[in-house]
Amino acid sequence: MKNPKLGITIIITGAFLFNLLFWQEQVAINCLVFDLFIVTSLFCLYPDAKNNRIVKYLLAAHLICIAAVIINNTMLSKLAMGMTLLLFFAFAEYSHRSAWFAGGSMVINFTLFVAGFSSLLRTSNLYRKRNLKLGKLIRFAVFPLFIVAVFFVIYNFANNIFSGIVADISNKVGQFFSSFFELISIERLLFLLAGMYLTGALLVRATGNKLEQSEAALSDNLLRIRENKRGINSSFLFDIVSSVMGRLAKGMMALKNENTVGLISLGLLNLLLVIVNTIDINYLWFNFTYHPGINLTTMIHEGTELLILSLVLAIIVLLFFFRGNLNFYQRNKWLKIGAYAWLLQNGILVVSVLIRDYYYIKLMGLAYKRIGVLVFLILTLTGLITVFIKITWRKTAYYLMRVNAWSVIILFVIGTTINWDVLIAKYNISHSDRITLDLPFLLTLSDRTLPVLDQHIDVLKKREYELNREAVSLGNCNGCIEKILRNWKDNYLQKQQQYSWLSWNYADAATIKYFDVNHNIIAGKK
Amino acid sequence: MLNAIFITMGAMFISDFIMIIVFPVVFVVGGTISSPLIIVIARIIKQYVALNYHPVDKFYWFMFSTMLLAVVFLLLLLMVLQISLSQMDQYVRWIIASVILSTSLAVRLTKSSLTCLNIIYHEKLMV
Repeated sequence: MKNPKLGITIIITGAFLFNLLFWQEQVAINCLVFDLFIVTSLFCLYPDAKNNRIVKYLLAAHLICIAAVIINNTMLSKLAMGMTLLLFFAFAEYSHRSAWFAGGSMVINFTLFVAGFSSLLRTSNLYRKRNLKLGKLIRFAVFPLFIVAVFFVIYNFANNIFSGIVADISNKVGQFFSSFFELISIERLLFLLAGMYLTGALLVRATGNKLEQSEAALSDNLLRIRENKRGINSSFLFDIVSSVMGRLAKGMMALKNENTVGLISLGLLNLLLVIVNTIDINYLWFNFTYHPGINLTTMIHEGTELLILSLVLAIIVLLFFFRGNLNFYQRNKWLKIGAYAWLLQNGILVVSVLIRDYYYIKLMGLAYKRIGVLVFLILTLTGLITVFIKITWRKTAYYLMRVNAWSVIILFVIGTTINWDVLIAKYNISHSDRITLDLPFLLTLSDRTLPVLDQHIDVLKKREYELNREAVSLGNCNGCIEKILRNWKDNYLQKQQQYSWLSWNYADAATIKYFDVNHNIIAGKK
Repeated sequence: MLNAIFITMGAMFISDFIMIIVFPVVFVVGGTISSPLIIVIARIIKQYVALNYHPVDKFYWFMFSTMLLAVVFLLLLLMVLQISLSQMDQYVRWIIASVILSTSLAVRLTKSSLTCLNIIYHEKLMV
């Protein structure tokens, strides 16, 4: 940091601003105010960051997340806002290309903040060291303190008058501290320190961060490395290969032998997957009809989890074979064809999982995990495409990690633009004629779904009646969905009254307005 | 020992009976329970000497890390013993304050040793 005095001023201002904006408030429009301050401070302290292309993209992504926090105010939008903020600062302060390394740098920033702040204080000349000889004082005090403590306890126990005086003093000290803590809340003081730590850790760049140098040594393009002819290689993966292949993993023919092993492995895996895919295409793609005898949970839920695992393993297998010089082996044509076939078949597997998820949503409605599967499939598809690029254009594992991390971030940012809870409630209720409405699940959704539930109270009452007939009760009573929703609404409105304008967000404002102007059942029939 | 002194002084405000036994109990039990922390503190010292900062900055970092470790350890201990913070609302401030104060004083006592360790480490690197 070029200007330590400015840095210290910003950190202290940030701590007070954080305290004012977030104390007993929810994260909403206040994060926009704090963001304006902290982003401006960043550009003041690190002016070169303005010229970084990735920083500009991340700032745009962060602004989208802020907008999502103010409009939707979902947990996902808050998480994404925090994540993009951290990455934005990391890319502005360090020269990184990968989000992984940038994330690591922010972890180092947070770990070493105290050292960084002390360094700022020292170099700013704001703090002059006074020769207090505190260490000497402590050394002199330890033994007397110990003896005094012991005798103090004994006298206090033995002498009633002394004990009375001690009690009197302790009462007065206690009163002083309680009135002091009434004036200055210890919780608020800790909150102030937390604000200071957050602002400082975001803004103070850690010195001697080796991650920057480590990343600078990595490249997107794979280079051919001539290994020692005697076959001495000390990598962990080589150890695994050599322990299985023995002498075949070493010497002049090592690459050819590895190619053969790869060919056999991919051939067998392709054969196995052809069988699985044929079954899926025949049964799931074209001939699937639901009847009550089918156990949906086993077929779709658990099946999906295992297929997801197999997709991840497939990517790992390909990464293993195409990790090094096999990429440059002249006779690797068939190995590449085998890998492409394997990737294509995994693509088919993705479609099969997608169809499973589609049936599950169609028959059971939307839920977090079902949406999560869709997100995961998009990421897997991106993963498979990047593996294809890696094999064709001889890219490194670093490239693969870097590109896939960005795809996760992009998907995360896009995900913030949707209010998932409201979407789930609306979808499930509007399709209640053909899906089994999971009423207990609907009651666990966020407060912002209350207007949707209120608008469809008849559907909910009907479903509750069905559940009551199956001896299932909501909230230990039958026919009390209205009461549950009314209590929920009352608690929500009471909680909202405690917040100031700093917690304003569109989602809550719309919900409060709905209950102000509407005359529906849980709104209390005004 | 510093911890025991501070907890004893804190306990003086609790009741007469506890006062007489709290010091030896804290001294023996506390020492035994917190002995595994030596492993973690040794790791922190290794990090301390390797940090690329001025010795003064490194020392404050070490002090903060140790205090944080002590508080986290205390909270973990309370969790393992299934004692919630609200349950011991009146004592918790005293205990946490005494742990923070005694840890910081203890670290302050080791400052010269830490500085020597730092010099030895960097001299070795120079050789």
